[in-house]
Amino acid sequence: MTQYFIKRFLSMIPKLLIITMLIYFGMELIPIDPLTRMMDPDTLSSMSEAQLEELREAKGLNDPVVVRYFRWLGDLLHGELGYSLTTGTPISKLLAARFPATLELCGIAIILAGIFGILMGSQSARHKNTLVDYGNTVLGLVGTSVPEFFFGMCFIMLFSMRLGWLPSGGRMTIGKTAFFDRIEYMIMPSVCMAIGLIAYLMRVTRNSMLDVMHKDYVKTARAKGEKEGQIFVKHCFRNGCTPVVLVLIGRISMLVSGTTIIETVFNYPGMGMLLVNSITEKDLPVAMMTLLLCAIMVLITSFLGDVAIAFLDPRVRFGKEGQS
Amino acid sequence: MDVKNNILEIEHLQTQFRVGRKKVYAVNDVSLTVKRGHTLGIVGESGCGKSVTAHSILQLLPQNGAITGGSILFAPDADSPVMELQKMKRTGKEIRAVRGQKIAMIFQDPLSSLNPVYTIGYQIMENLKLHEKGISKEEAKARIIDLLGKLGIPEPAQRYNEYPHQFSGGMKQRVMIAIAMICNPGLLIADEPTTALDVTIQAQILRLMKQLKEDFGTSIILITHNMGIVAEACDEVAVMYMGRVVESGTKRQIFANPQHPYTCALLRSVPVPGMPEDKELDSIPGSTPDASIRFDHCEFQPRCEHACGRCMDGFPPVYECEPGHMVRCFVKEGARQHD
Repeated sequence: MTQYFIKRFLSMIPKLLIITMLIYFGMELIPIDPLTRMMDPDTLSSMSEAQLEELREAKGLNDPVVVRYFRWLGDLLHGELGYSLTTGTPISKLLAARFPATLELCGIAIILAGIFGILMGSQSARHKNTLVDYGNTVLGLVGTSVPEFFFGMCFIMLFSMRLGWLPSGGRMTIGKTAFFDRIEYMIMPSVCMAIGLIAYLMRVTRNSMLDVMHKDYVKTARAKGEKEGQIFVKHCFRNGCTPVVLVLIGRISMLVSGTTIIETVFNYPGMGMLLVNSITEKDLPVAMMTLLLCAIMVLITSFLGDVAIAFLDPRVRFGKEGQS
Repeated sequence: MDVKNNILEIEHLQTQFRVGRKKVYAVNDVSLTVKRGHTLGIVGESGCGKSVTAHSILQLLPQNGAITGGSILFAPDADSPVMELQKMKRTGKEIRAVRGQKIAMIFQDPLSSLNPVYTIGYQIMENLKLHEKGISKEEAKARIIDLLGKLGIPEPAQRYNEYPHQFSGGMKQRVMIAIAMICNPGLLIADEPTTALDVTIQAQILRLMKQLKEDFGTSIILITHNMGIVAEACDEVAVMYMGRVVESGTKRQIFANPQHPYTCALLRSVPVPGMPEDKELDSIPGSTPDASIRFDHCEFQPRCEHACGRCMDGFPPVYECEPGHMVRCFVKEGARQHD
C-alpha cells in the first residue's frame, strides 16, 4: 500500500512542473518589465535607468528563458512570489491572507455536500419510486439547474434583508475573529456552493447505490440472514461510496471556479475574489499566482482522493500484483 | 408432513412477479420433497422457474415477486416443530433465523457473489456471528480456518485475510460453500453452483458437495440445467417446465424409465461420448412460451410430439406410474392419480 501512495505522490511532480511552466511562460508573455513584478515598487521608482539595467543583469533577466524559469522556480520554493502591480504588496502576503478564507469556505461546502448528498442519495435509493425519492429528485433538479449566484441573491434577500438573521457579506466582525464568530459569515456562501454539489452527489449516490443493491453479494448477505439495515450499511454503502468519492474529488476543482462567483456575490475576501479583482485590474502576476495555488490545491485533493479510494477498495490497494 | 424422512416439503407452490402491468407466472404448481441427507436435483430449461422456486424457499425473491399460493414446510430436525416458510415475512426475524443457519444458499456466479471490499474471513465470520451470538473471535476464526482447510483451500490461515479478487473462480466457489456451511445448516440450496466454472473445476466442486453431504449429513437441493450433473450428483430428480414439475422420481427412475415427453426430449438432447459424428443431436422444436401467458391446458402441448386432442382439455393431473415416480401427462392416464 505504501508503494502505491509513494507512486501516486511522485506522479504529482511532473504535473506540478508542467503547471509551473505554463504559468511562467504565461507571465513571460505579459508585456511588462519583469522587474516591476519582482521588486518592491518603492525601491524601483527611486532608481535611475542605469541602475535598473545593472539590476536586470544582476537578477539575470538577460539570461536564456530556461535558466530564468528554473531560477524563478527556486524563488517560488523559497516563497518569493513577486509583487502585485497595483498595490505593490508581496503576493505571498496577499495569498496568505486570502487562502485560509477560501479553504474554510470550500471545506464547509464539501462537508455539507458530502453529508447531505450521500444521505439523500442513499435514502432515495432505499425508497426508490416513493414520495421521498420523487421529492429528492425534484430538489436535485432545482439544485443542478439553478445557478449558484441566484441562490446567493435569494438568500441575501431572505435571510439578511427580510429576516436579518445573517450578515449579507464580508468575512468577520471587527474584533471578533475566532472561527465560531466567523461562522455566521460562512453559512450562506458555503450553503450556496454546496447546493449544486449536493444535487449532483445525490444523483450519483442514488444510481450507484441502486446499482450495488442488485449485486449478487447483497443477495449473499441476505441469504446469511443479515438485517436489511445492516446489509445496506455494510454491503451497499461501502461499495456504493467509491464512485461517489471519485465524483466528489472531481468536482472539487469546479468548486474553485464556484468560489469566484460566490465570493463576489457575498463580498467574501477569498482567493476567488482576489482572482476576479486581479484580472479586472490587470494585475496579472497576482492572477497567475492565484491560479498556481488553485492548481496545486486541485492536485493535492486528487492525491487525497486516491488515498481515500485505496482505503475504500482493496482492489486498488493491492493493484495488479495481488491478482492470482 | 413426514418429519422423520423429509426435511423440506413444497406443496403446490405458486410464485408470481409483477412486471409493469403484466403478471408473470414464474412458478405455477410445484410440489417437491427433499429427503433427509439426500440430494434433490431440479432440472429444466432457462426460465422454467427452478431458481424462483429456490429463492421462494428462503423468501429471497426480488421486491416485485411474491408467493401467492401453496406451502413450504421445513423441519430442521426429526423432532423439531415444522416451520411454514411461506408464511414468514420476507424481512422478518423468523426467516432471518432460518437463512444462513438452517438453510444456506450458494449462487451461480461466485465472482460476483462475494463482496469485493471485505476479506473472505470477514465474510464467513459475518454468517457465523449472526447465528452464534456468544462466540469469541478466536474460536470463530479457528473454526473458519478449519473449515476452509476441509474445503480444500491451501494455506487457509493466510488466505483468511485475503480479498476475493485474490482468489480464482473455483476457490471463490469454495469460499461461498464455506460461508454456507459454517453454521452447519440442515439444507443447502445450490443454484447452478458450477455453471460459471471450468469443467475440471466443476467436477471438483461437485465432488466437494458430495463429500459434504456424507460428512455433515446435509440435504442438498441442486439446481442445474445440466443432465450430466444430475446423473453425477443427485439421488432424486425433479424436471420442471414452465413453472410446473412435470416429472419426478429417483435418479434411476428418471434416467432409465423417463415417462414425460419433455424428460425424454431433454435426455435425447444430451450428447453422449462415442456417438457417431454425423448424428445430429435432437432438439425440442419451438421455444418456451411467454410466462405471462396463462395456459388452460398442458404447457408443453405446443411442442410435444405425442400431443393429442386430449391435451387441450385442461391440465393433466399427476400420475404415479411406479412408487415414487410422478408424471404430469395424459400418457400415463390409467396409472394411479396422485393428489
